Amino acid sequence: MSKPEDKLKIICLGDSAVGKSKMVERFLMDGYKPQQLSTYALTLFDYETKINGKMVPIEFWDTAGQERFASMHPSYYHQAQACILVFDATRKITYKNLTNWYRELRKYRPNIPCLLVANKIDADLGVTQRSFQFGKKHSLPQYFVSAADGTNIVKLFRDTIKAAYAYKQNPTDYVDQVLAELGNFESGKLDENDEAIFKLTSKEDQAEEF
Amino acid sequence: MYSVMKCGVKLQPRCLVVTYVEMATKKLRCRQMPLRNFKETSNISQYAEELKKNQRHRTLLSDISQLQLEKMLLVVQGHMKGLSLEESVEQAESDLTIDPDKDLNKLETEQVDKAKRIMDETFNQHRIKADDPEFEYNVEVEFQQPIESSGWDSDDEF
Repeated sequence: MSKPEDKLKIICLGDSAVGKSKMVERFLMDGYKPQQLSTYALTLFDYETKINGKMVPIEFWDTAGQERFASMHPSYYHQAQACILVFDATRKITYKNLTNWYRELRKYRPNIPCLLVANKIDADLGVTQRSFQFGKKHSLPQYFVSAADGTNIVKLFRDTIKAAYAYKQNPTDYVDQVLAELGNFESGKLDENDEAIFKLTSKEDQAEEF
Repeated sequence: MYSVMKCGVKLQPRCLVVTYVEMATKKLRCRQMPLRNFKETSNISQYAEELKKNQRHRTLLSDISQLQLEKMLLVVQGHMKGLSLEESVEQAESDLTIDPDKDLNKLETEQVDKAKRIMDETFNQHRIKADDPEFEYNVEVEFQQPIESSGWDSDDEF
């Protein structure tokens, strides 16, 4: 049995309607029923895969309209080990907005691996011949994908899982280590954000029991 | 069983026109569906949804996307409002096109949903489903080095 602390958390980030959910759904395939936490405008997808001969539980976090506030609740980023940052290759504004998403990500998670994705290449294959500086500027690997025809979706998710796993083995975010230590000693002391996370976690736990 | 060929509208009397092949007889047929109680102020997506549910027409209309129906209805409505046919076709087209510079984060839920429906149209056209013969779970494509700039980075906008 895998312990809850073995779980990898991977978050999806990007504008409304860039295809984040459709990408996760394509990777997990049809018939998958995610948990909808509408109170938190969140969708969680549970998944399990074998890494180095060991089953590892993974949770993909997807927004459910929360991005409309152009910002996510801090608990969204909390303890994430990797981020899939998506823009729509047919809409320039979603590329422009990457700057804001990336800034927010780095505020909470300065060092986690982040993979940059140009989705919807099926709508215009020409985009795959064009260069986008954002990834280069921030040293992010960039993927051209299509959730509609499946191009590079599985590769993207497998690479992300590997990156998240590697990060978890050797986290470099100072905050993580501090939080881990705090957890051992004074779990009673929670600030406002932690409390929100706490609520969120207990809600998940309830949902998992069924 | 039917195979739908074309979908259009007639303005006098107002109706939706669908041409299709009846598979059993291989005959090309045409059906006119009167747009009853359709008004200048009718809610387009609601009306299109009701049309799709119509007992007599739903089998035939199941092959036509909601968006295409909406486009047809917009053309009729534009014409009712006094636009020329050309103008109302143009308006219907622009109404159902996504402006690539529009920030959907800043729109109301209803408008975001509409934009998503429009984009779903392309998604569904290009979608390869698990039961399609050409489906492969893992499709890896390596793209060549880019040969031109996207023009989306502010440095090369000038």
